[in-house]
Amino acid sequence: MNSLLLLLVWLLPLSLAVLAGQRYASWITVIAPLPALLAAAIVPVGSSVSLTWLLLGVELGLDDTGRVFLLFSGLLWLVASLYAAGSQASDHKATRFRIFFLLAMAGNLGLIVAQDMVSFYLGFTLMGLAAYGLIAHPASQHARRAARRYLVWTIAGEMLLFAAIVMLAQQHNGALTFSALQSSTPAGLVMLLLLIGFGIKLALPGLHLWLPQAYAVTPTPAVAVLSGSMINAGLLGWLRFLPAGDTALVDWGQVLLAAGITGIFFGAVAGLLQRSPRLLLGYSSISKMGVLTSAMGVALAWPETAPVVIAAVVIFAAHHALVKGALFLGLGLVERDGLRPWIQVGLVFLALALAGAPLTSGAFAKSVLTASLPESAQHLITLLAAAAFVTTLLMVRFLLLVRRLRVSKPSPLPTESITAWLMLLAIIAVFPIVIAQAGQLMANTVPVFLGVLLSVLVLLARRRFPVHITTRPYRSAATGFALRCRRGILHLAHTGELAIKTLQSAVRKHHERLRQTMKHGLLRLRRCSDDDERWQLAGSLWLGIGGLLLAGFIFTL
Amino acid sequence: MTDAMIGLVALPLTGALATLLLPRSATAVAVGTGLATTVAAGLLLFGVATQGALHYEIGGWNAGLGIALRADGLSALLLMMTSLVVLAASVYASAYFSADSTRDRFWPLWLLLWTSLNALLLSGDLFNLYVTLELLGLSAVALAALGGKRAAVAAALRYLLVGLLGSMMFLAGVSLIYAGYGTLDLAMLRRVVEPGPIAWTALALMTTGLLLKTALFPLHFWLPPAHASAPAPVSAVLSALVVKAAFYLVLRLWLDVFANVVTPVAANLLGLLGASAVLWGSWRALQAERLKLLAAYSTVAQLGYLFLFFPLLLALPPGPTRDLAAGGLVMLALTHGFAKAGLFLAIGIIQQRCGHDTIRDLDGTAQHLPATTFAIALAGVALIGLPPSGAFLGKWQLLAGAVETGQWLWLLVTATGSLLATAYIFRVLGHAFGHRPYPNQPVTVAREEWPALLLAAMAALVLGLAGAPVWKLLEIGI
Amino acid sequence: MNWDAWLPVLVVASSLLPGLVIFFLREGSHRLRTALNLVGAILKLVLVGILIWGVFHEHVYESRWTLAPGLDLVLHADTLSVLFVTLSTVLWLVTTVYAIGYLENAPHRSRFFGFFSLCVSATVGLALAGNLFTFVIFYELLTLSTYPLVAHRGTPEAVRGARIYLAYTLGGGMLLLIGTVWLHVLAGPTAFVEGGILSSLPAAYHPQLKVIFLLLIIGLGVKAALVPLHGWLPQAMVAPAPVSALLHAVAVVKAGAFGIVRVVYDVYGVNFTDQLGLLTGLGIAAAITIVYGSVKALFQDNLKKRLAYSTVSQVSYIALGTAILGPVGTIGGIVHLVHQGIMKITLFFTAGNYAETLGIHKVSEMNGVGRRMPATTLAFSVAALGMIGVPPVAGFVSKWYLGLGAVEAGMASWVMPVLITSSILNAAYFLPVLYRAWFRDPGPAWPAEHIPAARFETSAALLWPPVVTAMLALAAGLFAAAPYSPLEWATLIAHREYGL
Repeated sequence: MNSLLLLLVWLLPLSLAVLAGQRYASWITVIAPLPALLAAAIVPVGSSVSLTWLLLGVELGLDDTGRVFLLFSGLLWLVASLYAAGSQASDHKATRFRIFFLLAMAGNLGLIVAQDMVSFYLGFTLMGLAAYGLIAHPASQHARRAARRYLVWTIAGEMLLFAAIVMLAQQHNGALTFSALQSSTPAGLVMLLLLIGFGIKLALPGLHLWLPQAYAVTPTPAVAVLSGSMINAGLLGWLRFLPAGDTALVDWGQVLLAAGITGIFFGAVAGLLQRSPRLLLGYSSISKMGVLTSAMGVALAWPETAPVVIAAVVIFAAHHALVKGALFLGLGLVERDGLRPWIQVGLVFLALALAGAPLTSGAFAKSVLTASLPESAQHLITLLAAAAFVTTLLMVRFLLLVRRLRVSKPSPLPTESITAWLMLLAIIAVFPIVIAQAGQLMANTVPVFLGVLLSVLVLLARRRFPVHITTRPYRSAATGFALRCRRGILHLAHTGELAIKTLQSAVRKHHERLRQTMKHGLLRLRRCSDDDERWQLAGSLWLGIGGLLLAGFIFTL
Repeated sequence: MTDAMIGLVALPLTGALATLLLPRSATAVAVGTGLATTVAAGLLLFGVATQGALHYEIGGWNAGLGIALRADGLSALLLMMTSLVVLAASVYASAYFSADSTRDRFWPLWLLLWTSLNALLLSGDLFNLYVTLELLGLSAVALAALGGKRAAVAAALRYLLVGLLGSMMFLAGVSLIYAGYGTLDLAMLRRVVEPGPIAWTALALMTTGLLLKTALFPLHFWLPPAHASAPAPVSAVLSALVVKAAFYLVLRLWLDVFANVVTPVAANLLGLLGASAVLWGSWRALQAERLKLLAAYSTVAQLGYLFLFFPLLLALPPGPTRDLAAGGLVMLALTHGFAKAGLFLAIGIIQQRCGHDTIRDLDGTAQHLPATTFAIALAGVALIGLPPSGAFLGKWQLLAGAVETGQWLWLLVTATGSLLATAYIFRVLGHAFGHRPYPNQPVTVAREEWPALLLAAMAALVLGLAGAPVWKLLEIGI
Repeated sequence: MNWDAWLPVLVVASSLLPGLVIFFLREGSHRLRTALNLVGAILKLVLVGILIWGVFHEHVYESRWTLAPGLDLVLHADTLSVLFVTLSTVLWLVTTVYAIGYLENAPHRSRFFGFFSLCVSATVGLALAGNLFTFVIFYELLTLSTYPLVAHRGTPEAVRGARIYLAYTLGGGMLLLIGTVWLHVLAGPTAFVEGGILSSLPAAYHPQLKVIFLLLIIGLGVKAALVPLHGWLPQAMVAPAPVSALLHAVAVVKAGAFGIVRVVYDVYGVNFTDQLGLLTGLGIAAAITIVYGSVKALFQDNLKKRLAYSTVSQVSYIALGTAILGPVGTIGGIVHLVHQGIMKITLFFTAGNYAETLGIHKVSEMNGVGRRMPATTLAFSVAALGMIGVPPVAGFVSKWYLGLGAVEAGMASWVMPVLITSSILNAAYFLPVLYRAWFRDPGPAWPAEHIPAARFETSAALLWPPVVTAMLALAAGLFAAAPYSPLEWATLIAHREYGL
């Protein structure tokens, strides 16, 4: 039974993709994540399924981390499917959307239950490529460009990961399971590849360039899962592949910590400069992933605290996934039919949750994280507080942007979508209260309060002193650089092609000239043998040969 | 088995007379004679294979006075080839000739040619060789002039002149030998001849004469025009057999009778001439605009390959390696005989159907004659030396010998020659592919196409796949 | 009746004899021709099955025929030959079905199928060759039998393409022949023995052996499309799609790659080759070809030309695998022989489908074709993803083993970047095609809709082969670790080669 459930987690969405064109397909999509939720609930931790004949030997299983991931991912996919049942009803390319949706789901859920490198990679690739289909779904020029950029980054990441897992496999003499990996430290190069490969998925600063525009164009239900569960696949990758808790990888830990801190503030600052709520949410994700990255850095650098830190990381990831997903879904509702009061209430609640206001899941997650930090890293607590502060600012701006959003073609809100969103809201509101202990819900009071205060002051100041600053939509220097690089590479490739062609034509011309000269020469020779002087020539040759033969017999060298 | 030997000479001779006396049933008589002669050749081959070299003195006169007939492995093989080729060409000719007058003159001369060929291959002494050589030349000239057109006659006259020059030289050499050694019998001469001024001069004279007759570069100039105007069966026999007969004589003299007289220097000279023949002939074939000229120049080239063996054979010490190379030489000669004959017969069909044999205008015609084109393809495969033809095995031995003795020049020449041959053969075949639909039946005129096909198949397939006995037979010397 | 000696001959004859008969059939006798083709293919499949079983149980099947003293034509079935024979047979069956559909109402079908059968006979003979001499013979026969296929259409471009093809391949064949003759003179009859036979020769011969290796590899490299000997491949794209499919997946290009594998493993022996310092050179040539082919493919708009350059790139993976010392790299190279064959044939079938059904020859004309021909485009997508190396399609498995082998052999520093660059480039020229097919809207009309949309998107004989081969490609990857997969067989070959 357990094995069957584990298999169905990814097998069901995969098989249902075949039926995506049927009439009740949208409801079929809703069923797809159910095995995942069921497995998370029923299957005991530590169970596994071994399929030695599949691919290169597949092992599926469920551990603690996996269970939490399965729970929140499954939930998010369920809610998103329900939302999509409503919002994609009017889409005439819905079948295509659904196919990619289900494929991405299969990949996402599959990699969570994977217990060996290759099946993890399989799920990761499937998810990554299927997400392209989701991002490119709106047929606009903008979507095409964003999707292509996403694809390039994803494929680059996947290639780096391929190199990493091959080297890991060799290091462990062909053993592919994660349990085998935990026994030794990966080589330096492998670490780098893993960090960058998964870092691309997690949108570390510098590797994040695909994210904002991708979030801007993807249809709502897809962006919810994209920002919620799919981005966390990168985190899961680190959790699975990195031997946290066994050996001291202090240097790498410090690197991750630095990267994470950069991410937190970069994401926040960049987000504050945005004019579109979607882009803002994207940068907010970058910021939150920075928090997770720092925490991973802590786990690597202080291995004795690793189990606790990792547990906190997982909870934080779950919180962020659900809240961010809900934010996007809510935003989707606003984009459809404008800002209704009850939607605004929901959004405010979610903003508070993300910022980590007391009594929300954010506070819960933050307090768990803070508690897990080791003695020597207490300065990081200040950091987390600062993060909460910036996030509050960010969320206030988000709410303002949402208020200012103008809907061009309002369409009525489908019941399914509303139901889905409200369901999610309820879960987000309830689960911390159910799980958390008393003190954990009261964290972050000060930073949030400060943040709100500052925002109010800024708003009042703006009303008092209207400023006409046209803030350009933020476009990183890195993007410009990347564009120039791409242009340069294409130019180089074209020049190379041109060079090859020139060389070929030069050779051909030379060859042609050679041929002509030879032809003329031989033609002349032929002509001379056509008239009767030939007899004289022939005769002399003949006698000459006779003489030579004789000489040859006489004079043996 | 001696009956077979006699039959090989007597049957065609009688046939020639019979066709002269019975012009109306000449074709039937000729083909019948052909069949009988071929059977005799088969019997002889079988006899040589089982009993070893055969020997017969006509009239009971001993060697030295009388005419001796000798057959060893080499001559038996060549006799078999001759019979098969001439038989096939006879069947072909029975359908080829339309005008009565040509036919009446054709058969007697044809059978006379055959007689002289067989007699040459069976001759056991030098004078006999001269006589048969002369007879061969004369009948070949007459056949070449059969078309009656001005160009044909001019070419035939040139051929005659060249042939007579060659024969004269040969005779001069023969007389020198007689003066020096007092005998003309090949077996005796082999034992007696020593390096010295007589042997050198005689061999030089004989070889020079024979080189003219075998159309070795640069003495090949008479061959293409002679081919260009001759009727197809005549061209076939001319390229495949007549020049081969002269080559056989060179082979016999150099490797057998005068084996201890020949020197590597002289052999290298022959090799160089052969190499030039390969390159020049292939090049001219590539430039040729008419199929017949292409085939003629191809003959020049292919004969060059045969001469490339000489330096190798002389550089290799006597032993299995040398025997392998010698076998390769014979295999190459046999394959070329069949292939060239088949090619000429096929070209003849094309010429008859379309009225011309210009390569550039072949486009439509090649589709209408798929069996003919296939025959050309098979013959081409054998001429290029691709497997599974016998020429592949021959070229293999040539290359192996070159590598073994370190004479890399011949290797290079062979490779270049093969590539050029590929070029000129596939130039022709390229025209076989087109848009016109297939005719309903692949073979149109059976009596003409089947001989061409079978000859080409013999070269391209049979000799290659079943050719191992050739080496065994060659071990049987005189 | 000594079956052990007759079985290899029968395997070759099962396509040779029907082929010869087909030549003489009238143009209109479809049924008989189809029947002959299919009967021959199925019979061959059965015989090959027996062969597989026997070779697995270490049975010896050998036919020997003396052509000249010291030169024997030998057909011998060992693990490597069985791999190639099975690939050829299965793909021939599929291609025959496809060709029957493709050439419907085309002229000169008897001629086509006759040479088609001869081509397969030559390939099978080449696979079963037991020594270098036999290999060379069938190598040339392969060239001869594929020339009429390339020139089949008879247009000036076709004849020109065929001529270029011939020039390259016969030139290469000549070099191969010279190398073989030389080797024969040095070492006697060069039978294919696992582990090679040349390591026992005295050291004085080593310089000559190096030159011979170079000659052999160049001669084989022409057919295997190693840069810069690949020039014939894009030109040969004028052939009808079944011919391109066969040439690229099964017959010609694979024969060259197979030859390289044979020379390195069974003539020289991989350890000896490494000793002579030749493996690195081969690896570098392969690496250059891989990258060059992919770069050129990026700039092609003609779909078949793009696929041609992709072949140039992909076949060199086999050479790369051969150049990586160690059983894992060997497995990667050998299994890619099978995987690339299946994937490439799918791609060519689908390209042929697009051309035959909708008149599409260029990538730029493929907008929205996924809606009109979903099954075909799905097959194309699966094969394309396999080429890129996306699991679970078969290409991933080959790349995995190549990567792993490279890391084990200590060559990862340059092999890994080559593999990754190649995958990225593959993605760069395949994914845009997929995007066009699935995400763009079609234009007002297709270039030339020959087969209108009916119940199925195109005729059955055109539709089923690519679907079947796509499924095979998927299965080969999915069930790679299962018994009887190509990977298992490749592992067996590698173990026997290294004496494990």
